[in-house]
Amino acid sequence: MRIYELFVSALRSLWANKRRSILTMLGIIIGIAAVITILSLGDGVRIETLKSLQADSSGQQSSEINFSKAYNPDSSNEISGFNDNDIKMVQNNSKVVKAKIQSGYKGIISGPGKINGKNVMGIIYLTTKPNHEYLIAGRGISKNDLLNNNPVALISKSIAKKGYVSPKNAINAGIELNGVSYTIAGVIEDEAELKEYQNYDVVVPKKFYMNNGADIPHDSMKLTFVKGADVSKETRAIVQDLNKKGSQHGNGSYDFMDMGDILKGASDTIKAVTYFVVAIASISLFIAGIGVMNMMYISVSERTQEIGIRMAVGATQHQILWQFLIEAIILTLTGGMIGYLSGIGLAKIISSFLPFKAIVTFSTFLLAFGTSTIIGLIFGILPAKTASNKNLIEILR
Amino acid sequence: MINLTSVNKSYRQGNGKYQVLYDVNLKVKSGEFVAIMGPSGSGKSTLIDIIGFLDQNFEGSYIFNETVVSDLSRRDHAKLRNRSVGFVFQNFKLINNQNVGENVGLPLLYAGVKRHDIHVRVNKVLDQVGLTDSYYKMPKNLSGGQQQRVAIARAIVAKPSFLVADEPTGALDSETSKEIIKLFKELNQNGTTVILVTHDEKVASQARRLIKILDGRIQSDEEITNEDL
Ligand SMILES: Nc1ncnc2c1ncn2[C@@H]1O[C@H](COP(=O)(O)OP(=O)(O)O)[C@@H](O)[C@H]1O
Ligand SMILES: [Mg+2]
Repeated sequence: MRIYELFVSALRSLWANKRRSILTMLGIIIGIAAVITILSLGDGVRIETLKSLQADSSGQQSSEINFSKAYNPDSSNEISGFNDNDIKMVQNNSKVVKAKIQSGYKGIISGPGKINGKNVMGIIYLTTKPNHEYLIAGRGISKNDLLNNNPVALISKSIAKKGYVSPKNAINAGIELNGVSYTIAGVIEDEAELKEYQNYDVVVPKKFYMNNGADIPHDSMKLTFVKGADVSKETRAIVQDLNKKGSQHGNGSYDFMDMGDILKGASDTIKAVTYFVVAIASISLFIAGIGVMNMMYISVSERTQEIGIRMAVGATQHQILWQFLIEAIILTLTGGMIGYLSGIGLAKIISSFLPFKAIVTFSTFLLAFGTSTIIGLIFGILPAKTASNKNLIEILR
Repeated sequence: MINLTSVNKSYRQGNGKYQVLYDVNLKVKSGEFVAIMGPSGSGKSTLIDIIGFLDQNFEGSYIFNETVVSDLSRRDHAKLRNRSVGFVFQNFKLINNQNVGENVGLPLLYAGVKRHDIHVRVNKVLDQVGLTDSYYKMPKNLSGGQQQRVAIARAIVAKPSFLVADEPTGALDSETSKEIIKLFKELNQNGTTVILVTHDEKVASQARRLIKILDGRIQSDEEITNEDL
């Protein structure tokens, strides 16, 4: 008998008992779907981790080093975290392909200023919106100031005192920032902070500040590495060097965000969940397997006459065995494939709420395919053996 | 072709043995038309199951052509059954959820014949048994006589060396029985060896040789001359 014919006859008999077949498949579907979901999410995190370290499509990886300046009001020079010497030093590292200084501006910069003839170093909040926060004297920066490009500034109490003894005296007086004069519109508390982590002591409209030739200081450096380099390790070493010998090592600190580290946290969580889900799914699959066995036993006993007839026209024991085994395998494999597709769907839905995308790999397909086939084999073999070992004479009597 | 020598058969019953066939010696040549008669329980079915390669579990020797049947593996026994014999049962034994054509083609399917070739051959055989255009009918929509024709078609589809029928008319009325026997006769006249079991005198009288069996022993074995009709 041709193998093709075995498949045809197996499909037909499963189709003849649609409801029973579907119910039996349900356990397999659920088990496989759960495993595929969690594995696709896990793969998603893994790929995202790699991607976060990837500079371009050629497989080169990159990282970014930031410079944060220590607060020092007496320092008069404009500080950029990196200069050409730093780049030269960094490029001594053989793994570095490219080093580029870029602006790390995130809303707050530091810049030199002069108030009533005295030098100050201000941590400047460049605002794009009207600002009235932490006000203790005068007025805030209004919508009109922004629209009309008014040179107005809010300064902290301590800067005000430094220039004009009291906050009140400072109102409507001037302050020079980056060589440009601003009118002090208001005085704010020393504790003024942005998003609860970054202190500032001067507020000016961003547009005006930028329009008057002020560069935003460079305080980050982007590094691109050769393919296959351990970016975390190399960057850490470079940061250490910079903190010892970098151009500004006395005025602040160099550090970098280890994206690998952050994603590793997510990946560890998913790993733990994976073990749990796989354990539960295994139990589900085992019970589903017993369901398959039960259904196949019922099928064999219902079809005793058919088995007898097939044997009477010359079916060998092997052919009968395979007929039922293939039926069981088609049942679990169909369940497995439905489960696989549901798992992918579920993972896609879940990952739409997460910061990474679920990834479908060929190996998870093989896993679903293999597992469901093996379940069919293991739990189908005994009923199939029962069918093929039936005594022909007994059946036909 | 068929050569049984001192065949004994017994069933295990509890701790003891229950003997059904005693020292059966039987030779059937190619082209014969043999009827086996005897009362119920005399061992007719047991004998014909052995002859028709359904039962391999017996004592004595059965040589089919040059093959020693009792020495065959289960697999080779099944293959011999597939190629060399066609079996017709009293209650037809059709697979009810498959159509007529599929039922008839079943032996060819197990012989590994291609689907297309099976289809062609099945239609030819259905013509032969008087069931033209019945390929796609379901067995349950056919009368008893028609179902038995389907079974006969299935028995002859693989062109076996001989046909075996165990009370093929047992479930049919006398009119239909006549037609079925006529069909067997035609097949025999075209060269097919036929061995059938019956307890109907009229059916037996159509054969050319009559074997009478009683309590597992062959009582008589004689030619039926045309004058007996
Ligand atoms: N599988 C079996 N187990 C035990 N006894 C059996 C079995 N098959 C048949 N017999 C017995 O063997 C005897 C002959 O049966 P059988 O060959 O079917 O007779 P017939 O077909 O002539 O009516 C009967 O007494 C029957 O009860
Ligand atoms: Mg009988």
